[in-house]
Order: sequence, then C-alpha cells, then structure tokens
Amino acid sequence: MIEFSHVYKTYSGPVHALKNIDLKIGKGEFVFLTGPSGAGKTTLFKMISAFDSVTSGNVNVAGFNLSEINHREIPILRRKIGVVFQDFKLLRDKTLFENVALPLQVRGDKNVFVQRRVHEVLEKVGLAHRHDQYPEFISGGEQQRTAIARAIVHQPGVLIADEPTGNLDPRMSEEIMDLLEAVCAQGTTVFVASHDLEMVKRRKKRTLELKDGMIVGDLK
Amino acid sequence: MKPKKNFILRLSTLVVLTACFGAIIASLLLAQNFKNLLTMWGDDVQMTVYLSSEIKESDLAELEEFLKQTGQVGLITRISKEKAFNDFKSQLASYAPDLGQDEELLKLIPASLQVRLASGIAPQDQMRTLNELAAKLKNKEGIEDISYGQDWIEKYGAIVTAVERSIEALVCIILAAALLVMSNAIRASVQLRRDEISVLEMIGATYAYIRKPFLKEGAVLGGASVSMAMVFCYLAFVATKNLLVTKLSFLQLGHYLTFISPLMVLLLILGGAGLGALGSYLCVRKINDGWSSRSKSEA
Repeated sequence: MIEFSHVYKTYSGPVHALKNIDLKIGKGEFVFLTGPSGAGKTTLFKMISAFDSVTSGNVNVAGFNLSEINHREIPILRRKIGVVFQDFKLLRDKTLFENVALPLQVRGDKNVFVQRRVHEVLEKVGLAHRHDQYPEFISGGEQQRTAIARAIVHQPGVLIADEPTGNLDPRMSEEIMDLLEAVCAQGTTVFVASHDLEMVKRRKKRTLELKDGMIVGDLK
Repeated sequence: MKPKKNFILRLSTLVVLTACFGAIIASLLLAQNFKNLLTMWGDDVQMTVYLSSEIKESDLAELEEFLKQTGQVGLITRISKEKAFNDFKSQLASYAPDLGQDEELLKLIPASLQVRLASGIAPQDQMRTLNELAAKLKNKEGIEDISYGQDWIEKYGAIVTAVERSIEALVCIILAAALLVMSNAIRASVQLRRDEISVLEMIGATYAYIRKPFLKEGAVLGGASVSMAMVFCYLAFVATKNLLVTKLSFLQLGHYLTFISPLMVLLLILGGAGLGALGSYLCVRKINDGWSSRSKSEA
C-alpha cells in the first residue's frame, strides 16, 4: 500500500530531510512512526499525501507512483488517503456533520448517500448525537474523533495520522488509538506518527524509528 | 450558534469597496452631468449673419438653403429689421424710453439670420465649425457682417477640454486606487482562509472546487459593494437635485441633472461582480501552497 525505495529529500540549504528511505507497508497494516522532532516524520507524511515531492527515489501509495504523478491525479490520490492531524484541522464554521461530509461532497457523492454514510461514521466514533454542533463547542477528544470520522468517511485505503494524540490527555489518547485500531481492523492501512513511546510500546504494533532523516529501527 | 467567520474583516472589506466604487460612480455621475450642462450651454452658441438692406428674397432663400446643405447648422431663424428694432426697444425701454420714437434708428438696425449649430457638434468643435461657416459665408452676396462671439466660444471650448481631461484623469486614478484596495482586501480575506484551503486540498478537492467559493465570495462582495455605492450615490444625487431645484433654483441647473441610466447601473453591478471574482481568482492562485505550488516548482 505504501512503498518508499531509496528516497531522498533535500531542501535548499542544503538540508537533508530524508536519506535513503526504504520501507514497505502492506494493506491493513498498523504501523507507528517514532523519532525526535526534526527527524523527518512530517516530511515523510507530506510525501505520502503528495504535499511534497521526492528529490530522488520512488514513492508508491495506493497504486500511484508519486514520482510520476501529475497535478490532475493528485486529488484522486488524496481521495484514497485519510489524514489526521494533531491540531484536528476542522472547519470552525461548519457543523460536525458538515465537516465529516466534506470528503464525500468533494468527490461528488449524492446527498442521500452522504447523509447515510456520515451518520453511520459519526455513530461509529460516538458523535452521532452531536452532529449539529460546531467544533469549538466540543472537547479536544471529540474534535479528534470528528477528524478521524472525516478521514475515514470515504473509506480510504490508507490513513495517516501525524501526532493524533499530541493535544489530548492520556484517557482521550487511548480512546483515539482504540478508534484507529478499529479502523485498521476494517482493512485500512494505518500509519501513525507519535512521540508517546510508552503508548507505542503498549500497543505492540510494528514501529519504525526515524532519526536524522534515516530509518534506524523497524520493530515488528 | 454558528461562529461568525471573519465577520469584521468582511464588513470592513465591504465598507472599503463601497467607498471605492462610490468614488468611481460619483466621478461618472459628475462627468455625465457636467457634460449635460455643457451641452445646455453649447445650445446657446449661435451665429448672427447680418444681411444687407438690398438683399432679395430669392438670395435669402438661397443663403438659407446653402447653410442647411453644409450639415453643420440646426435651426435658422429670420430676424426682420422690425423685429430686431422691437427687441432692441423692449430691451432698452427702461433705460432710454425715447429711443423707441427714433425712426432713423430703424434704418440702422439690419435684418439678420440667427443660425444655431447642429446638435451633434461637440462643444470643443463648435469654434472650428463656426470659423468654417464664417469663411464659407464671407463672400456670399447680401451679407454685411458675421458675428458669433468668438472670444467667448474659444474660452468655452478650452474649458470644456480641460474639464473633460481632468475628469478622465480623476476616474483613472480612483479606478486604479480602487483596484489596489480591492485586491488587498480580498487577499486578506483569502489569507484568513488558508486553513480551509489546506483542508480542502487534503481531502482531495480539485483546484476548481477550491477556487469556486472564493470566486463566488469575490463576485458577491464586488456586486454588493457596487449596489450599496449606487444606493448612496443615488441618495446624494436626489439631495443635490432637490437643493438645486429649490434653494438654488436661480442657477437653473436642477432640470439638467440626470442619474446614471438603468443599463449603466446593471453594467456597473456586473462589472463589480466580475472584478471581485477576478480579484479572488488572482489571490487564490497566489496563496495556494499545496500541490499547485509543487507542480509549479516542477514545471
């Protein structure tokens, strides 16, 4: 589902953000990505979602070769990926329902389907009763669950989450990780970046360790 | 309750744009009405062709026909010696009552033709036209003298040209300033919605899908600003006209003032909407920092 081969990313400076990255993540796999700040985690995620390009090497995500992808294909790739951020990135002038419905509306799904599917997903994340609330009136944990609902509503093959529990207390963090594992159990590849090594250890999943732009550990 | 997104910014943008468009509409209104007044004053421009006492009726008819055929004249009025004398008498009656009894004076006052210029001749062309006509008439039989207030018309033409150029320059300056202000206002509005753009990109929205609400917002903002400016200008126009018709009626200007035509109003509103959409389009294109900038850097 996600494959990096001999990937290098260099920014002007030069700053070598990623060096010779080789990795393969299969369908339905749950993988953690750990490493200190500045190790290159976000750069790696940006490449998966085609927000950044490689300097050399090849990246394959959900059947797309990102070294050859053209700008018209990028939205199509992104519709096969779900993204969750530490700061949720919910639109504050839209209700939870409207936020979650966005990926379906963007791909032009019919209203009847959107209604049914969004309610189904909000039910799954335990927020059906708050569908008409605005993000700023709900808790951080609920906001993150909404963000996850938005990331999975279109049933993506890959879900990437950049520090999804970074702004949450331990109990909320566990709830969010349970939710991500449930998503993975449905067959979605889940790739999670986290600083919380204790939590990562407890979950007993494959863990990639990134340091100075290089993968220095792959614990299965 | 739905959070008010960028309410203050939107309101201030609307106010600034309304002020800009208001200035443009006011300039147009000023230019249009000034032209109306000039046309009114231009209507008074006429040539007096003094006839010799020996002129025959056939020569006079021929002269009138000649003037009509030039295509440069409008109304031609014959003023007989008697009428000219009576007019003269009535004008001077209170200053010199005995003048009317002086029969010798009648012999001195000539008959004449009052020649108005054709209505299509622009104020700045009137002097040239009158000079041409005077040159053509100079050698005609039965004409004693030609008078057309040369000094006054020359000055009038110069004033018309100067004022027209000034108004054109003013409109250009205000339009340029309005465009600059509008572009900055819309850019600020778009900048505040960067998060929204990045979310839309992240979930796979196409470039057209991302741009659409911004274009719509720009068009609505532009159209609404022009409409509001139009309402304010109309109210100011009505107030000014009322003043000219009532307290300043001695100026006799009130009846010549007209508001912008409905077609022009419609065109201005559509133009404002188009300008707003264009401004938004340019701003969205510039601030997009996702895949579009990536594809640009690769190009």
